[in-house]
Amino acid sequence: MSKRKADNEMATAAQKVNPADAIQIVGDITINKSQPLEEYQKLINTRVAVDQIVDDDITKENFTKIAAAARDVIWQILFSDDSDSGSDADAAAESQKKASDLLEEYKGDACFYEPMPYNEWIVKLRDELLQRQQLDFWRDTIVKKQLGPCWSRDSDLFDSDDEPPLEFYAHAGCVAPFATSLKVRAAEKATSGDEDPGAALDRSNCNEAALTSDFEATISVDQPLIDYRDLMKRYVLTTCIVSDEIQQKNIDKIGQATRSTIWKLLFEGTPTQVEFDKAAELLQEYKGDAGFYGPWEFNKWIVKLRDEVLQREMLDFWGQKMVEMELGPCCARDSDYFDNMDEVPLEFYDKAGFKAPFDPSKNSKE
Amino acid sequence: MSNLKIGSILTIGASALGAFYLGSYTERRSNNESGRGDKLTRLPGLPAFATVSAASLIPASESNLSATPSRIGQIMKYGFPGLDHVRSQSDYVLSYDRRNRVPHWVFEHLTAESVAKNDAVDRAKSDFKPDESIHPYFRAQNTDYRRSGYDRGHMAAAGNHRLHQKHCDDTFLLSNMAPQVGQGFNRDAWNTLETHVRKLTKFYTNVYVCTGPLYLPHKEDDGKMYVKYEVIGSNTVAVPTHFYKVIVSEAADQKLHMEAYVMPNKVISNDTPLQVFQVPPETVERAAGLLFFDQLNRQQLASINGKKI
Repeated sequence: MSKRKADNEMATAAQKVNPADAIQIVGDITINKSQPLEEYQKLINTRVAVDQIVDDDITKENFTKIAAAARDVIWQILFSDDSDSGSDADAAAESQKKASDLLEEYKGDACFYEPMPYNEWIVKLRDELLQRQQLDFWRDTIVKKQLGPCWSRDSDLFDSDDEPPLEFYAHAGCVAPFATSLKVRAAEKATSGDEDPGAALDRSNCNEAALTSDFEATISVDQPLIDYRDLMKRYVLTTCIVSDEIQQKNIDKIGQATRSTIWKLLFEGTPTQVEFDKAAELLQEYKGDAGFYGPWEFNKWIVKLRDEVLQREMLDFWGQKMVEMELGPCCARDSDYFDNMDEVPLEFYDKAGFKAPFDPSKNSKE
Repeated sequence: MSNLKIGSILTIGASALGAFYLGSYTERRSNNESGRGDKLTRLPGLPAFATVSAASLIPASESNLSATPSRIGQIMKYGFPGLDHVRSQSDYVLSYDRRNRVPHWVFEHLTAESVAKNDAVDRAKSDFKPDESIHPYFRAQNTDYRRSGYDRGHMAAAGNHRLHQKHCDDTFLLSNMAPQVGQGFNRDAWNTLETHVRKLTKFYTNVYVCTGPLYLPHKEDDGKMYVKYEVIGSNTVAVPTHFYKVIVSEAADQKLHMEAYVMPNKVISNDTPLQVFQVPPETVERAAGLLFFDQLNRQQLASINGKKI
């Protein structure tokens, strides 16, 4: 969107609703003693914590006014000598609770919006409490709930370079609840997201070999799949950048070794079931990689392999492995070299009474 | 009447012509004088930055209150990590990530003077403000952070900019913030790292530092890697998984020393030494998609993370 268009949009949006007008508090406000917490919360939610974009100065000013009203009403509840100080214990306890709840809520907001006025005022409140010997409120509310000055424990406007307000609490036989924890702080150990350089040396040797194509590709008949995977991991899945040409060379080298090992497994001596299994699983893995790195060599060779298998009448291997496991030429079913415009290799499987293990009608969307 | 008209037309015409010729003459003269051919062409939307060779030291006493090209050139002496939504404040440069509503990176240049305690500058006078220069769609607001469980964490730290109140105030713009874990990170371990960077000015003439967020992948139970991070508030401000600082310090003997740190955005025990978080600078570059100090040949550095090269 062009800047001008954006500006226009902003302007029209601003004309539609001018949230600033809606929320701006004109003149002073007061909070009633009967339900101070609810009133306070409502004011904050409608005049300060609004999601629309309002000029920051307005929300700030609103908070300043609401905070002043909150401080006033707390002071009134605690220190006004009218109704309920001493006369009725229940009523006194209830009003103390009101003051305590509002103070806690207000402090939470002050920590976020404007800690300084709170930090100055709370000292005055403390002095008044101590002077009037209202020690219960001091101990059970201010000290216990840590309602002293905002600091790095509860506000992001402070950090560990700032003095913790230990002194504030050190009155009437109290200490700051966090005094001990300042000395001993337990926290979970951080674990950095670095990988452990375990086989780093081996890695760098492999990378070097991969860069020059200077390695032996040998795949034993005993554990062909493990050998194959190891070669791929070392010389193809490198951690360094290998030029495409060299990479292809490395893949060809490993591919060649793979094909000759499969050939050995199947056609040298009399293969056992174990060797059939090994050949099939290697062939499957090799086909998977071929489908990704380039299937053309595989697709040519697999036809030769099939012909040799059929000529030697290894029908078990043909039926149970090559046909059932779909080890024929790579196609759109298993490789992103192809798409649904390409023919699927039905006729490859159409030998010795077998059919392709997939249904082409599911593939073509016609 | 008509004579008067003609007279005034003549007068205006004469002064216009005179002004034109005088203007073109002075223009020619100034062109001839600065005949070194080093006039920078201005690119649209980009201030003409001083190149590396032209980066000149500005006396610290001269505290700029608006982002002057010379100050930007000085801060960005070793190259820009990226050019997405670059904004220059009075004493730091920032690239803003509009999608995530936090910076991509901020760049600072510190000296012993700029981090020294200054009675004329009071952090308590600064407060967190939305950045009006960011389009409202992409602006983070205080409300996004309120009761989110995260701090408004400075990328360019307030304590690094003490030459003038305005410099400090500028670091409180919400465009310079990212959500950070408060206790145990922003107000502790991360603060320790910021303090460490400031201490470097005791030993080095100039300290350049680039700071920013990372969103690192992690492996989940299915064995796959995912990048997962929380977003907070109605503006969906991203909560980065980690933060980095890449630092280059210039010693008096012109030797350059680099340090790079990555810290997870979580509670870190206070007794964890900073060295634990040192990483090779290139790992940060790969993860961030940025190049830090790329005007510097890494071979030119005297040390990286305290190790000789």
